[in-house]
Amino acid sequence: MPECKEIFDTLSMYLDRDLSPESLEAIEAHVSDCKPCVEFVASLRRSIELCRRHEPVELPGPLDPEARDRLRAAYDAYRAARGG
Amino acid sequence: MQQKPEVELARQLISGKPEAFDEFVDYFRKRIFHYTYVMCGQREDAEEVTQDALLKIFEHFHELRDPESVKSWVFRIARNACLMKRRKSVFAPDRELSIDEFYPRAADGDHSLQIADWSALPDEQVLQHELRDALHRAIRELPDIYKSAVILRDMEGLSTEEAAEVLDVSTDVVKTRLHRGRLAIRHKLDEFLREKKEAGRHAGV
Ligand SMILES: [Zn+2]
Repeated sequence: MPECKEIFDTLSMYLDRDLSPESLEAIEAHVSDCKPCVEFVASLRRSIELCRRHEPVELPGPLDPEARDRLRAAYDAYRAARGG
Repeated sequence: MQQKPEVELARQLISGKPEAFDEFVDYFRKRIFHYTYVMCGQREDAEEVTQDALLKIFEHFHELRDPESVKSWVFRIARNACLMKRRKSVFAPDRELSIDEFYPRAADGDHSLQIADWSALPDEQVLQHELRDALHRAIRELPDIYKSAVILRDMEGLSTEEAAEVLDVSTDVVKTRLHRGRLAIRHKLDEFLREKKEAGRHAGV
């Protein structure tokens, strides 16, 4: 069975299920039976969840009409070029 | 609609339906701004880079062949706009994070590792707010190469392949950087939670 330190580098891939079935199984076997790893994996999983749910603190200010017009002109040029 | 909204919006714009224009701009403007703000650290720079990137997107819209890949295509442009901006300012090489920095130390005279109690994350509003700030700081403080991997994969929901495409690196490099970035964030949050617990103990809570 792999040691704690050996699996440490693969824990993200383990959580993302991005390893061969054999590797996943080996890590699973270790992690389910090793208290420090159980705790560590749980904390890493929570931390990743917090990132996923993290809403941007900062939003851009309103788009000013001139800036929008410039973008729209570029898009309209694209449409004209493709004959639409 | 099960379809990803950004893919459907891109599809409509490609087929020349301008009704989707404002929604598309709104959708990506927020995301590009968030990415560039976290990467550049300055609100004004991020606003400028976002507008530059959006203009590039429409000027090169004919290069977007497959609406399915719109997200990585857009972020690639955003990343380049961000790099252009930063090249003009200070250039600081990225510090490499070593895996050993994040391996939790064993507590004294004990086989258990020093890990905070994550099972009871604060639900009190003030603490939640602090936790959110701590997370925000942890992300901001990451060296760029790890930061971009975390934003793209865990916050913007790109796949490993898409993130590799945006960052111009192999999928293995994305995986390594993502893991180090995640470990660094976990480490900072763990410190935060342990400090909170200490403070609570001293306050007699
Ligand atoms: Zn272990």
